[in-house]
Amino acid sequence: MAVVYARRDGRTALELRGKEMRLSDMTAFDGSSWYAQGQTAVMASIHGPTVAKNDEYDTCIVQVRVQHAGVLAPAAGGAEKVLYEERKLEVLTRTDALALGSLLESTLNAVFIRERFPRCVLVVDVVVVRDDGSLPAVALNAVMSALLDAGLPCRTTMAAVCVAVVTHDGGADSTSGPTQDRHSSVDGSSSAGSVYEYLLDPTSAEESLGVGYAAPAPSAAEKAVVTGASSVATSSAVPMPLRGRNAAQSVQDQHRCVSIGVFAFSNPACGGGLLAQLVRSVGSGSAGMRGPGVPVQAYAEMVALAERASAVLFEFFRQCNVAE
Amino acid sequence: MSLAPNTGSVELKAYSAHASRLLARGERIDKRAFDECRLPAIVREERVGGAAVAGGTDGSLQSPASSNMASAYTVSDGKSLAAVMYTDAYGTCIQCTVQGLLGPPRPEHPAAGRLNVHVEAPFVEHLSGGGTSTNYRSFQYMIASGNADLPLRQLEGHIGTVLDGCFDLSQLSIYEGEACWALNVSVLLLSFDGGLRAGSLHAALAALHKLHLPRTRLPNGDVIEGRQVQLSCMPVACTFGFLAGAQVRLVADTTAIEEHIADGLITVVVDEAERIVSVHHTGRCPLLAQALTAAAQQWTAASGAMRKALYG
Repeated sequence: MAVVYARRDGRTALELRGKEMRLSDMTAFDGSSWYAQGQTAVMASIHGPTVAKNDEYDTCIVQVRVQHAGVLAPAAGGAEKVLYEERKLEVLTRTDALALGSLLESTLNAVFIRERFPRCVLVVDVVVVRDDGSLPAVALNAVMSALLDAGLPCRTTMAAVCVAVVTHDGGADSTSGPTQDRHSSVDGSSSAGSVYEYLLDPTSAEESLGVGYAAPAPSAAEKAVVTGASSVATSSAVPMPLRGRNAAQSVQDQHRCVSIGVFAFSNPACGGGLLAQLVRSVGSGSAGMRGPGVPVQAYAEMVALAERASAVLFEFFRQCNVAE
Repeated sequence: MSLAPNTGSVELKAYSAHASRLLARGERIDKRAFDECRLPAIVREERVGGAAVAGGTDGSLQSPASSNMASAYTVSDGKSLAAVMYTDAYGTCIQCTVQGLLGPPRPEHPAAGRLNVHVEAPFVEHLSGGGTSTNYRSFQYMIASGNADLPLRQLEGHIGTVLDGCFDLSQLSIYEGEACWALNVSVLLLSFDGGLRAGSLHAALAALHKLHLPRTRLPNGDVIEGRQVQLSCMPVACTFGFLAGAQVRLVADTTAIEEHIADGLITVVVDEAERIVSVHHTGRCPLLAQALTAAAQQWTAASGAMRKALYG
């Protein structure tokens, strides 16, 4: 029997966190916005369009810069410094360059009417104040608010929504072993047995749900090397003891986040459609679990759910009198 | 989005117009069909133990042809655990080298190892400009769309994001909280014509497939036996360019000039169980969800040949 995942902050599965928007706080810029959903906050400021040296002389070039607030350099050396540099590079490449940089640049080029400002440059500074999940969606909404605050002409407004897919490792998983999952190319029974829940606007804890790397037991690892796949099945079937966890956490421990998607939608009044998206698999990639990713039907349901949730954000923009 | 196409002495606008006219007529410059992908040839060299193992054992585990071909490009310090060259019939050459070190695990994940991805393109002309060259490891470095090396950082993020889902980092753990393997995956883009997200990801996945960690000794004298690590699934990627119009047309496995003139790019990564591992879509105009689902289904149906060529 599938246990419905109870969110820790009391929200239902299809509920967004509280939204807060502050415009024109920074008077030195042409447009600025501070946008937060729950504990995730992003500050965006826009300078321009200003006349500058430009290779594309017939359009305006959009430059996006991404920074993180409150990041300090480490004072330590040795292995701790190496670990800090690795973590910084991981945030730099996966979050800043891939999730924020490519989505922001692509959507800004699509939304902002660049042909009206030839030989100009528009500089967009994005500062991540705090990250508690759904960061690309909050950053896209913040930049959209800053564009409207600057009064720049846009083809459409856009709203971005994050969707997380959570599955339950219950009885259906224990019947099919990891050996079958690894070797069979098309496992119809495990695909049919998957039950997916869709969480809107996930927090950091929900995004990393189930990503706990189990320590490999040395004896099981040695036996696995010697005897092969059967020992791997035997060792992974041993249940892990719950050390000092309460009942709610033990229920949450069986849930696993398998996929996270951020979708940027165009305004339905201007035609609708998807402007940009990034879907990624989450998990430790363990051979004991079912493989990562979601089927095409679940992916289509993610897009449909995010599209319905973007209407809430369009309504929020309308209520704040920044967009029609 | 991607690195700019290198058109040689032809002006980029003229070449773009020529490619646009061909695509409007349903043709491509390299005569491929719209749904045809470039199949790779993987040259693989795997070492067991590196310099620590005796020469006789090392020689007997590799075929002479593979060793001679790949050793010219492999780092000769003997520390690489795997070296893979990803080539196809259209001139693509991407080399991926995996090196392993011992180190402490991260404090937030004590039972997991460490995996770092680095992408370099030493022969791209506009990336090696002195004025725009920046040290991405410095403290003041930030992600900006004006950076010349932003596509390389995005490729690193894409490879790392996909590897998060299909490579179990607990395989690299030796002692929980004390010691683990730190793998450095270096992807070297030697020659390419578009399709970098798929090509660089394929090179990294081919190098990590059936990787063998050697027998080693920790500084405290413990001897750790060698073991084989593997991917939990076998993902394959494809980049589609879509051309907007009355009906959206998908161009599979785009070249550089097609990426430049397309209205958007969709990179789909699927695994052997027909699950979607990753989707990355950017574009100049909105796209309905049916077109994205069609791209995912098209690549799910056609990914068998690529998976066979990649993983053997």
